[in-house]
Amino acid sequence: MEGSEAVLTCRDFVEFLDDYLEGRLQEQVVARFHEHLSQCPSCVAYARSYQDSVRLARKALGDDAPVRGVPEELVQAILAAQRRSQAG
Amino acid sequence: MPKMEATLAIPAHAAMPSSAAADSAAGRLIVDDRFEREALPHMRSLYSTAYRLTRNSADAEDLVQETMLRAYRAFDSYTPDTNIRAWLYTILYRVRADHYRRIGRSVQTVELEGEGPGTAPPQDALARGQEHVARALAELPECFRGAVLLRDIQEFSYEEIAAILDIPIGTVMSRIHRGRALLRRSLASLGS
Repeated sequence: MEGSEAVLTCRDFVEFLDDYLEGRLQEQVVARFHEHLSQCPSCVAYARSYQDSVRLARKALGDDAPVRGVPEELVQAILAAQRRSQAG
Repeated sequence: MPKMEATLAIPAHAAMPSSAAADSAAGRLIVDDRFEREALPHMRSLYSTAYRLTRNSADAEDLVQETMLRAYRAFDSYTPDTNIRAWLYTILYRVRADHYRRIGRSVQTVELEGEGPGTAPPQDALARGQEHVARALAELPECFRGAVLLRDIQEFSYEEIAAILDIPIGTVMSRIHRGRALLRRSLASLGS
């Protein structure tokens, strides 16, 4: 984000939210984010729900989530193909 | 693996090929052992990602099988004790990209329009079940889904993702941000 004097709009907030959350913004710009958040309940709700979405995805889709494991047939197929590749 | 002392009895001019063959066979066994020890433990994670990318088990199995075969054949080029997980994921995403190239399609993209604090939050999406969240992710265009999976589920760094997808880091950041924003919107609409 350039121009530290410019007003930070809700659109700017959404566009640079990832940079803010990942700590990629300069201190000056972070201060403007905080100022915006103190005055904009909509952006507070948006940031919270954005982080919630990431958290929900991690919880629902992590490798430990109850999804199907690796089918045994696939493991066997790979090992068999390796043997063929080795023989060839 | 039988020992090769017998080569001592073989005439000197014949010893080289025999010894080379033995070395080669022994080398292959070492590679096989390393491959099974280092690469195979990542299959569950690779399959999980392949399933999220392809959205069906048959295509996921094909994708993982081709990935593991390519990895096996190229295993000599992998430097031991480096980042094998990133190396395997790079192959997985290349295989997927090759699939798209073969069928003459490019990975679908979409513009992020109308995203902003005015749209509804995901609220109680998880309370409606993990399948609900999985469905929301499955609805993302693959180019964003793939980037979000690598960052938020597999927890690769931005630099690693840039290498895996072979795209600039700025594009990685953009895809992850757009993917997360679309996921948020999708969760909101599914939850309403």
